Amino acid sequence: MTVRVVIVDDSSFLIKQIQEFFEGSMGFHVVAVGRDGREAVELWKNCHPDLITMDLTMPKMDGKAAIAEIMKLSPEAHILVISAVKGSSMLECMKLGAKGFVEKPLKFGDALFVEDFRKSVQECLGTDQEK
Amino acid sequence: MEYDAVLLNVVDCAVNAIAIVLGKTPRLSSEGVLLVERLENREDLVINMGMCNAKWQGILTFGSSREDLALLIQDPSQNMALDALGEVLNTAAGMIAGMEDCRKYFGELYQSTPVILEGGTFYPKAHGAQADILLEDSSIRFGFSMRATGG
Repeated sequence: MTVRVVIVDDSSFLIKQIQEFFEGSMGFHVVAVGRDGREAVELWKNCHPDLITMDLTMPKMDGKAAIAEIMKLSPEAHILVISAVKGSSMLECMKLGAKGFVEKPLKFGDALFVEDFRKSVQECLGTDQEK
Repeated sequence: MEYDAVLLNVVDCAVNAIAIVLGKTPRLSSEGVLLVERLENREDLVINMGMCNAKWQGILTFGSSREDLALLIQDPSQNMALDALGEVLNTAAGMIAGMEDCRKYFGELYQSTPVILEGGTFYPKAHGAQADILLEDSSIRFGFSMRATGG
């Protein structure tokens, strides 16, 4: 079964890169994209994806607040944080229930980074769902 | 390390940030790095970010023409171009702030929210480095300057 993904990031440039990676390299289906935390929560309610990627620094509602909301709705949610924010914020996201973390910048031209990204996605899903 | 040597390393960070974010192989224009007393960036689309602490205040700027950005990211929309330039700026700022030479010389630098400008702006007088970074047929203007606050 194809993995259904929602991508949330306030940069349409990064959304495009992440979407190309998921659809081109992993065979996933990106069902929707969002630009802020509020959209993330709405998209979660409407789409119930297998995986949602979450930026942290975003307008309207930040990623951390969106993770908390989504985990209240669906404690089983698979949330992968993709952010340049590190340290305590990353740990707080994991405590809130995020299942993985990928650090920006996204180096899709770097084979090692791509392999690590792929592993993080698979670990986040809890199983090897790549096609 | 001398200030101008730090500036040259900052330009390296900018070149690396462009390579990482845009996935291209950038090079400096034949003019190389210019050490200037006031930055100049009058490109169509410009993104500036302040980098400062109690003792230093500075500015980091990237800019390019709409046409060049559309070519680089293979997308004609202005929002996509600005987002791409914004990612270059964020990546470069993180690399500069984390660079050991920079931390030794300036201390920890705090970043401001990026500001987008059309047609650039008039920059304050401050010693800095400026370079045109070339990628294929496109060009990105980079600048970084810093001045002591006297604090």
